[in-house]
Amino acid sequence: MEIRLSYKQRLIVESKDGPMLVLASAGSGKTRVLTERVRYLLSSQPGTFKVLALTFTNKAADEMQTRLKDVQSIKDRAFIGTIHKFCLELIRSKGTAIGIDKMPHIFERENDRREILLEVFENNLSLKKYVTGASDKDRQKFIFDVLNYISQQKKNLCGLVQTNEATDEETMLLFNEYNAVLSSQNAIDFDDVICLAYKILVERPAVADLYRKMFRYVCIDEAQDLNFAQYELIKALCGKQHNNILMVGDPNQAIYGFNGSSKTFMTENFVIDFNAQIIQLAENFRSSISVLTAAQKLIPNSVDISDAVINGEFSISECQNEQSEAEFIANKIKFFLDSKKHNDIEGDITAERIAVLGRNKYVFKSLEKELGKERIPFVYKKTNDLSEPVSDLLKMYDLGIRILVNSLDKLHFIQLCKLLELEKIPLLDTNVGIDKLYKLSDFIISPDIKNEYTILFESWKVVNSSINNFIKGLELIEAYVNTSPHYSNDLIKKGFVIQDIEELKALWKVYSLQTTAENKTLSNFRNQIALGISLNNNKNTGVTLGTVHSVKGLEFDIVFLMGMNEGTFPDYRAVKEGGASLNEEKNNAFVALTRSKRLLYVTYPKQKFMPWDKETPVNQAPSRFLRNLS
Amino acid sequence: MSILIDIVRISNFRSLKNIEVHLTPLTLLVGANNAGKTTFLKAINLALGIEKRFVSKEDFHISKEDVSNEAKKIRIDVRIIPVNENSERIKEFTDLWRDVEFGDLINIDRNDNQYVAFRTEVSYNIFKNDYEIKKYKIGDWKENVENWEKEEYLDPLKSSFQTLPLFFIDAQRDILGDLKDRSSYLGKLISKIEIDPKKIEELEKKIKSLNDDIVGNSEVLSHLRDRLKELSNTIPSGSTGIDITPLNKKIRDLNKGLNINFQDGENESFPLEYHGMGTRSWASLLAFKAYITWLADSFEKGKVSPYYPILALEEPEAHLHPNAQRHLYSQLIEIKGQKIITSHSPYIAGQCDLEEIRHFYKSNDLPQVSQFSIDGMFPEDLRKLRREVMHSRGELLFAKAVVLFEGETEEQSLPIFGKGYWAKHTFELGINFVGVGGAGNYLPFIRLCKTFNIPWYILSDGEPDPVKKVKSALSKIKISLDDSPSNLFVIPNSNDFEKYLIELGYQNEIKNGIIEIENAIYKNLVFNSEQEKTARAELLEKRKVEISAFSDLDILNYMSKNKTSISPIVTEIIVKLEDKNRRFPPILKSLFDKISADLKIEIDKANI
Repeated sequence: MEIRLSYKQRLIVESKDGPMLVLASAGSGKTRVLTERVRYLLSSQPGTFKVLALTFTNKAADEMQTRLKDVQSIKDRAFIGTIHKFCLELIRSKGTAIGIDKMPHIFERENDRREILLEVFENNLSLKKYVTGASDKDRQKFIFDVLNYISQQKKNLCGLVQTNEATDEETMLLFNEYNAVLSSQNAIDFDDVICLAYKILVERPAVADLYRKMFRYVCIDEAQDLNFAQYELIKALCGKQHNNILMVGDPNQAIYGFNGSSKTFMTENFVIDFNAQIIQLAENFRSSISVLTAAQKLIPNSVDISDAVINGEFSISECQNEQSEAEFIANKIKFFLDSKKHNDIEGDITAERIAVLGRNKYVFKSLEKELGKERIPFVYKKTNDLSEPVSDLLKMYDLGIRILVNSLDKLHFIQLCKLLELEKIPLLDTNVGIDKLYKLSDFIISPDIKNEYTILFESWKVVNSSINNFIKGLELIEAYVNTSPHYSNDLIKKGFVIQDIEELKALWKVYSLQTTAENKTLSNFRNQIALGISLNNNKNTGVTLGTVHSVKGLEFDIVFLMGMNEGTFPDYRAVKEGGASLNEEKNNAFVALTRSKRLLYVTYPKQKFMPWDKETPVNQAPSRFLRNLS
Repeated sequence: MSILIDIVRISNFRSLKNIEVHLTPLTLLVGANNAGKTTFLKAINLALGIEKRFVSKEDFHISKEDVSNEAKKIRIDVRIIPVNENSERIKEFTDLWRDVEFGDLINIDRNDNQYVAFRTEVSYNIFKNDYEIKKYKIGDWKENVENWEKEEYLDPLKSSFQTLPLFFIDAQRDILGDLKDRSSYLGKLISKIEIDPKKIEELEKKIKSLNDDIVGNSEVLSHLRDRLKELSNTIPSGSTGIDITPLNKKIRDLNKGLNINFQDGENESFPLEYHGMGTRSWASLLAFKAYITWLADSFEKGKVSPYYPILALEEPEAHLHPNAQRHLYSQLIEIKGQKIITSHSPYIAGQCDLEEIRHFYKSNDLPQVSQFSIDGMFPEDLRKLRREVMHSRGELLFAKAVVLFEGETEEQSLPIFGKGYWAKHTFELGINFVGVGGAGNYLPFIRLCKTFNIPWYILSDGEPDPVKKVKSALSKIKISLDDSPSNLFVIPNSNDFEKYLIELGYQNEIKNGIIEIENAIYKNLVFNSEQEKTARAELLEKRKVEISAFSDLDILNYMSKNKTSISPIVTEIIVKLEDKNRRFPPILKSLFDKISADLKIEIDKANI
């Protein structure tokens, strides 16, 4: 396939060795430059080296992999995936170098982390006082804050790098106890993935050296969203010897500051630490003049309009209230879908080419109803690819799988026991997952649950015998649900189960395609689910509804940006904080605007009804970001 | 720079319950039949072989306590390390090995040395009702562990390494079979006859003209052709083409019916089927060598892939004359890659380095393996061992028992005593008698015997100096004389062997022996005159009288001057004595009794 590149793009793609920072503005062909760089290296440079291409989302990695499918032995010669996925691989492959004998399992759910923390408070006399006596709401808030604190510590590589911050003993105890409970169950949390990989690289320089030699080129996508731990990881990986690092990013699209990310790792640290050459890539052939003008007005010098040729449309519409805003958008979408044509858009307009964006998911409430009324299909874009079963049956199934792959997993064992309505947590005299599950059956009292458990156990058994039986195992459950009178009397419940099974099947399918037959294990599958597997073959298609963060990196021909009120966008908390937070809100707005390739419509309601008072509307001010746009 | 498979561990495979074998670029496996050598080769073939392999119930080790093998697992662990040109371990794999074959399979040990390790596991799958072969990455190779086979590894591995294929060549190889078998190495190689298309046309024209020539010059063939032309008269096909091709016509069919002729010396060259099995077996091996060299060269030319073939070879000496066997080692060592070879040939063993030899033996009915350790040995000892043992006495490695002593008298006499004692040649029994050439030379021989688990015995002179030296040698292998080791036999009363015989009162037998020698000398003389003959005869008679009067000292003097000639004769006389009790000096009797007991040799009491 012949890829057309602009002169400047080609310059980057075919550049010689050496560290390089590409400041690529929205629409300048960032992904294309990255993929073509990988293709160029693998097909035009002599040698048997590998390329490491790190992305921020599974979606971006999938996209890159698809585009590079035709490069010879691409799977052997390039690792294309998220930073977390790379780190997980590193832990799996080289964990023994720092004494990790058994691959740990990821407790990715917020709920699980909370339970671990509660256990810490419960079992520690000196810490218990913090949670007793407080009101329920206060306690919740407190736990939430502590979890955030722990996460933040890990993102700062606490305990692995020197910090000046003085920590008091009890905080340290809390932090260590939390980690100890995880580790006693051979588990890690999401932030640990980076920490452990970092630990391997710094404690065993020979491992870093091996990887440096293996990956002669390192390419990093969306580098503006790197956080401290991720940047340090890359530094530890590349060391002083490695120079062929390419970072691509747009400082104006940095929107993960709340997560510890900062564009300065890319724009300052990288440039100083590696003496990187900076290249601006601002040209934009893709977006319409209207969209680019709006983006330019929001953040001056953020894009280059000179190459744009298509006019496109941009408008800001004030609506009376949220209902009329929803109607306005629904009508316009209906109009586009009916007429199918627009002068500035090649080919037929389909629902998939349209997106409605908002700062948070609450702004879509009225719109969902309107779209339903008009029978316009829509999909809600999730922020992450994490999946969680909804039905009790599949929840139990998932918990069982976790125990199969990690028999030390006490947390999910307890959760399973609770779902099975056991009176107390039984002590089982085995350390083998499948035996544990087998023995558990004796403790179930309710005959209905026992029935279901028998089916689940059959499924676990076949899956345990061979990973290739995964679908077979699910079909056992499916067959049971389809024939059981219990479920035919409760169609909603049945619907949830079938939906869960379908999702698991879809996850398995994607995992199967991405993983070579020899590498497939149940444990690896479970960890991949924890990191998120993006189901791009989503059969529910339609207009995309999504928050700014969920559509990062995606593009649509027609974009509606709704709910542009002060307090919503920018978020009231950011307004209160000001400074960097407010600036990041501006970046959010910039990302939202630049998701559009051609037509861009911004709306806001003049009045809103508050949840606690459905009678009297409250006046709303338009967003400050709109001031200069029109 | 390349790689080396340096350790293989096997558990539950056929007779191998649990075994760890260290390998060198060339490893020679020696040991009695049925000691597990071939089983070992088959096990690595299971782990690294290129052909699809099947496993059956019989491949699982069965021991008395087992009921079924359904829950059992065959496990074969293999470690691969990077080495330099001298086959010494180095820290890192080369770029090619890292990038093309191993990638992140590469582990790093505590000392930052890289290695790759994997497990091949065979287990019974109840669902498939069949045996499954699976491979796993070993992320942490544990050295010197007791129960390595109990470690569990979960990371699956792709099915085989393309660039380190193992070729298994069994003892039944025959180049004739190879020629007909397309899947043999020779078959594979000659299927690649590649000739420039233009050249093919030219060659085929030449063949056609040759064929025409042959048919034209042969009356029979011309006649046949003409008669067959009548075909077109009866079959209305319009074609007149009758071709008789004594020579194969198509170049692409060249590999079919390819013949290999071999000329032996001045004789006419014959096709291989007229040669004996030795030539054919050896030719088969050379064909394999050609195949490997061909592949290795094309890999090297490409520079995009590493290549390290592994040869598992059974008895390269099969059917070969000892003289030919002497050349084997140097030919084998030239083959690219790693070689693991079983052999019963003292000629090959004698040329190997001691560190290359692994000895398979059975202990408690289970195959065990031992290897020579040069740790703690002085370079001088090592040199001596190479010179004394390996180069001259390769057969020692195949002995069932070794008797060590100082001097020539024993070397001459003991085999004869032995034959008298067991009524069999001692080499039939696998008992070797080795004069070490002085009491100071025992140690390397003892070490060798210990390594290869060969029972050894010392018959030492009794004088203070030799005893001191024996003591010192034994102390180095941590045996104390105070424990009176049962395999040490010291000639009593500070005697050497000759004095011992005197002390036991064998003077007359020795004198008879001396007279026999003098007689023999006389008989072999050629006389110029009858006179001279009579004079000589008189002299002989005088000499006999003289000898009969020999004092003990005279006897000893005579013996020390004529050790090699006198000892066998005297021994023959002693073992044939009427008085059974005098046939074997007591110390030899106890030595032989001990050997009989150790080796479980039946003794015919009638002789003793």
